[in-house]
Amino acid sequence: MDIWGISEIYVFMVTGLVLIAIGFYGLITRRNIIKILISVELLYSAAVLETIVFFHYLYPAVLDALVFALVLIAAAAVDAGFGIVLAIRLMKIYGAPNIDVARKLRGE
Amino acid sequence: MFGIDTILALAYVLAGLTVVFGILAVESPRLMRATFYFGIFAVLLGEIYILLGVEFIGVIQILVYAGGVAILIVFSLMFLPRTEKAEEVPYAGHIRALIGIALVLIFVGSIGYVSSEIRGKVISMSDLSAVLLGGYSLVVVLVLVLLFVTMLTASYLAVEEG
Repeated sequence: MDIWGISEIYVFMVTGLVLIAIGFYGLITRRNIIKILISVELLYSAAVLETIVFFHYLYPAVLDALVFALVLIAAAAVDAGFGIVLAIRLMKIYGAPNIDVARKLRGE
Repeated sequence: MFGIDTILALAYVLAGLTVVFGILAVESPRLMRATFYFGIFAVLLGEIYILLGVEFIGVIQILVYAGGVAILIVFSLMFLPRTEKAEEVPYAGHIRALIGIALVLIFVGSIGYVSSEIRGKVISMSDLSAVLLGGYSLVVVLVLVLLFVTMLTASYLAVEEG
């Protein structure tokens, strides 16, 4: 399936790497906790994509990667649940879902 | 398709759109739109998994991310104060809503087309469940316990006063 010298595995692997870059960019630059949560979810999605693509093309008979992907998706759901609760708590206590206000937690 | 392998063309289109909607989800200044773009991103990523033959993971991806996480974020946004100015252009909100609905219909409808293009071995749910309940039953139990504890803790934190 090589066309233009690039096969599907490279397309999907590069997509995953770009998603990791976008996720880290959002994680570093955004102050809103909802935006940070979306960036973290992008990172989880990229990890799942890389895992599935890697095993799908190199070890198609091994299904263990799918178990790992399912665990990662569950971890992402857990993370989203806690992130949402944190956003609501920050909103209740400080009046803004901005991560900067949480600096008070470490005594600054 | 113009001498290009259909699957590779689909891979390019899906990968490109996934990256574009990922960037939009992070860069969009309005949270509601960013969440909408994140939902579309999740659907496109699920289509990539379906194209790769792991339909079950694709469906789980769409259900958990687009149907769970994105809707949860939308729900939490309702607790936040609205800082945007009121729309001055008449019917602008309706037009945007129609565009959003059309986008959702297009991307969700394209799942059927992508699933018809799968070649090679499709990993069925019975294969996966045999692995899950075979050597990984302890992992399944641990994940279930983790989800349960998270649900309890999150609900406790959400309702706690002070």
